[in-house]
Amino acid sequence: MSENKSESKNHAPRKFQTLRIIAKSKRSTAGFIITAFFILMATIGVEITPLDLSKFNLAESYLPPSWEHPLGTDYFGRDIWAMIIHGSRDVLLVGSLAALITITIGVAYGAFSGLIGGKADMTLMSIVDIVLTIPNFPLLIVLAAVIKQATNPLIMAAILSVTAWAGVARAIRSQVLSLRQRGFIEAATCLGMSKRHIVFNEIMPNLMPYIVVSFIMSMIGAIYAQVGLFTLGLAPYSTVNWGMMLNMAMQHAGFGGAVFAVKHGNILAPVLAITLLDVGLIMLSGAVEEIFNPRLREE
Amino acid sequence: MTLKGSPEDILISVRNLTVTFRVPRGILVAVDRANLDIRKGEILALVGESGCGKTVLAHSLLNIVDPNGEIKSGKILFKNEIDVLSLPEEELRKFRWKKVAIIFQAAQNSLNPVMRVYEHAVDTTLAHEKVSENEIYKKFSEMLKWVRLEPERVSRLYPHEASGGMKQRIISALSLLLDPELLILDEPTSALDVLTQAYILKFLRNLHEQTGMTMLYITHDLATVAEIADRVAIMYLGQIVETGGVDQIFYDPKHPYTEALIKATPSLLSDISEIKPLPGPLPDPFSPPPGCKFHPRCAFATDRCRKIPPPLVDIGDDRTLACYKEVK
Amino acid sequence: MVLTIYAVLTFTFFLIRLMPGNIVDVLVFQYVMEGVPEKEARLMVSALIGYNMSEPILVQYTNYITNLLKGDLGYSLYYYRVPVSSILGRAVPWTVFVLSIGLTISFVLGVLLGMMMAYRRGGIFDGIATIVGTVLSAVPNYIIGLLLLFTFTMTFPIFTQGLLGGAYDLRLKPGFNWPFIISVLQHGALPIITYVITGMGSWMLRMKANTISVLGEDYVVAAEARGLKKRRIAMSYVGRNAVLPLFTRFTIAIGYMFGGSVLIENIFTYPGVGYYLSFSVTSRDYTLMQGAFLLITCAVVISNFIADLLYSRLDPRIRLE
Repeated sequence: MSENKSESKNHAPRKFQTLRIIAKSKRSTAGFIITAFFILMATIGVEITPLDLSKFNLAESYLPPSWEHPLGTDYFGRDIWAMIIHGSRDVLLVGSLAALITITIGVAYGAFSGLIGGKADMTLMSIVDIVLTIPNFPLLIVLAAVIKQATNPLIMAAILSVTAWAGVARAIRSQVLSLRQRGFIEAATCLGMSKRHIVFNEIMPNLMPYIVVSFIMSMIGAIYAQVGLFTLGLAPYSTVNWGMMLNMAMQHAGFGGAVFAVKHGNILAPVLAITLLDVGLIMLSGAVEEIFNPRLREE
Repeated sequence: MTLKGSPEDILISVRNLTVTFRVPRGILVAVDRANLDIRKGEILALVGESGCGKTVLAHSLLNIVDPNGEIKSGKILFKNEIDVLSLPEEELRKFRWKKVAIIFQAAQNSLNPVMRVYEHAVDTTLAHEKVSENEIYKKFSEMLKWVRLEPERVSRLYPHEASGGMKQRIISALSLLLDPELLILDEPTSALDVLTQAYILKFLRNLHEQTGMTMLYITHDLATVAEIADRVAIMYLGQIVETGGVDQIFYDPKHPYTEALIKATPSLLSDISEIKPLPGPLPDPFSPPPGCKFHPRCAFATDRCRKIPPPLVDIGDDRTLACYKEVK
Repeated sequence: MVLTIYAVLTFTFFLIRLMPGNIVDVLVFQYVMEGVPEKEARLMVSALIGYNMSEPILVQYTNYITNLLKGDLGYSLYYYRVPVSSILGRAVPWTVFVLSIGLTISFVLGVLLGMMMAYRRGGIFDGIATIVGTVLSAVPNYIIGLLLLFTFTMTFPIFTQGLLGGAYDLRLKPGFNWPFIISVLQHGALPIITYVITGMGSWMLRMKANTISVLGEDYVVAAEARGLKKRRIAMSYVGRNAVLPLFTRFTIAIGYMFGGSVLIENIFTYPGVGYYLSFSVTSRDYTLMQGAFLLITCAVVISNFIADLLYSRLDPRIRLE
């Protein structure tokens, strides 16, 4: 195994090669398409789909799927398809914000710890260990319920990152450590490169794949957590968040009653949306790994 | 294809063996219509360059094939009674190790990391016969002493607690556990320093003298062949091209390839200028040359050589050869 | 481990105190509204919470720790005057019951399936199982819980008891009698199944990957060459080596499961610690919240510790350290 200087540069391929790599693997293509689909939904879809949240027309409650309402209506007569589309914006927005905050803190912390080494590194990592032991979700619900300003997506995102950064920090730190071992950082230092150059031009490019993958994974985690919070009814600021849809479906379930197919549109729609997004994101992260690591590519 | 030696003498006879592998680039023929006899009580050296198919041939004797590989054709007879390649699963399982045992190349990783050394012996024995653990332990201790290891200390070790040399010896002890009739050694000296090499060769000679065990000794190192072998078989690109007694091969090589191999080995007596490397590159294994596979690098190649592959025939004096040079 | 627990205790202490809106004042206000004089109200509240808010922090902290060591978690605010420890004490066994069974089954099933997938690689079974595994590992646990809840209580009313919630039919007398045991199982079935389905996916996929790489190892071929039986090789040579790396994941999974219990117990109204945690949040029962959070976190720390011990016993290569 020759660890020569050429391996220190990232393996990011040229533009069209990326597309070709993605197209070769069914998984990666699917991941890309699904993610793109949801992004479109959250951006353009929201603009072109009308939704009246204040609607209160029980006469149209729980209608079965029809041309006008592709997925039926909910308890209040609102169109489920529209709600899914609008919900995607909230979910994706909070998710990506949370992921952004998570990796900013995590990467900075982890890289710093890895580069500094020594006792400081050990101390920083013990803190990370302790944070990692705290179970994520219980802490989240305590925080979310208690912090009144959780109505703001940004605050919500911040709360979601509270423990997530630790995992990222750990992973990034071990990457930095193995990069240090490769010697080219030493080489750059010997050549007299400034610290800033080393960080931004040598280390970052090599960390990029891990950062991107961490971002996607953090996003998945954030989506899981926020939808979970909404489902429990603990962060009820947005009526359209998919988790909220689940919550309402739960509340209005009742004991028997409404028609089978219709009822399940309430549950199935957000469930399918969440599952699809999750699966898509996971496949996307697989695609990213394949792009940056030639060894993973299928022949 | 008749090769010399009366039927009772022959322990293993390989006829027309072809083994292929499916790799991303295509189909690779690792062993191509090979013919070989292993006689009872002899040490036969199988010699050839890396990649010529020696290991694959050896593994086939136990019907062990890589998942990507396939034994396309051929027959392997053990003592003229057992058709190894068509043995049903259970019979094959019992055949392995009891009749034929193998010490793999780079055997360092042959031990299960989560099992102690003696557990390997227990497992192996119990798979073939019903014997008490005590007896197994006794026999295994004997074997360990044979390879100069202390049973009390070594048996309880886990593989990662043993050094490389120790592991090699443990594996050798394991191979003798069921008193196999044929022991295959695949490059036993390749990765070792000269002293350990000498020790292993001495051990093998001792073993042979004391038990008369038949051995197939696979190597690319001719020097060790001279020290230990009775007969030699030369392999090139999946085919056996010459066999003969060790003196015959060394002093009177007939096949041009054999000649080249012998000449390429430096000796204390000859001048370094006498060493002649083989001309031409090693052919692409995916598209071997037609006719005799050696013809592109052979100084004596004729038109017939280029078209029709020479068969392996008996040329008298207990030797066989696949070449048109001597055989018309 | 002790250090971690200590850190967690301290963290929880400050967490509660950092909550906006002075709890004490709110509660005192409530009492005052009921006609209790303020001074007395303050005393009552501090007894409830377990420490006196008006004293300097260090003293409060010491009281807090001492109380904890005595097993005193304060009194619940919602369940008037009921000690938190008794509420949670009754809840813990249920959570442990459901979690341990769920975790074990999902692990065992996942590992076995993963091995089968590796051995039958490329076949139909493998193809389907891989898809199932991938989807299952992506779907969040509460979604599976909800789906199960709705399917089995409404569409196919098998576990209708689930609708009533609880760990068992409250009309029955607890004890080792058959009706009670059946009722417990009926009520616990759905949460357990949820855990199993949620966890299985990732075990399956990881075990498959590990098994495939172990199958390529020299000692497996060597074992075959020694004439060992297929079954023996699969169990002791392949299986054991493939499963070992999974144990570090097992530790992480425990923590994850405890976190998930908050959601799942809520969905099924199953009275475990997770349920009480989420309940305490919605009802602003701060002492209960503190106690439950503490308990869950400590449970995670302890189980991690035990799992680490177990792992070192199983892998001889680790034992040296």
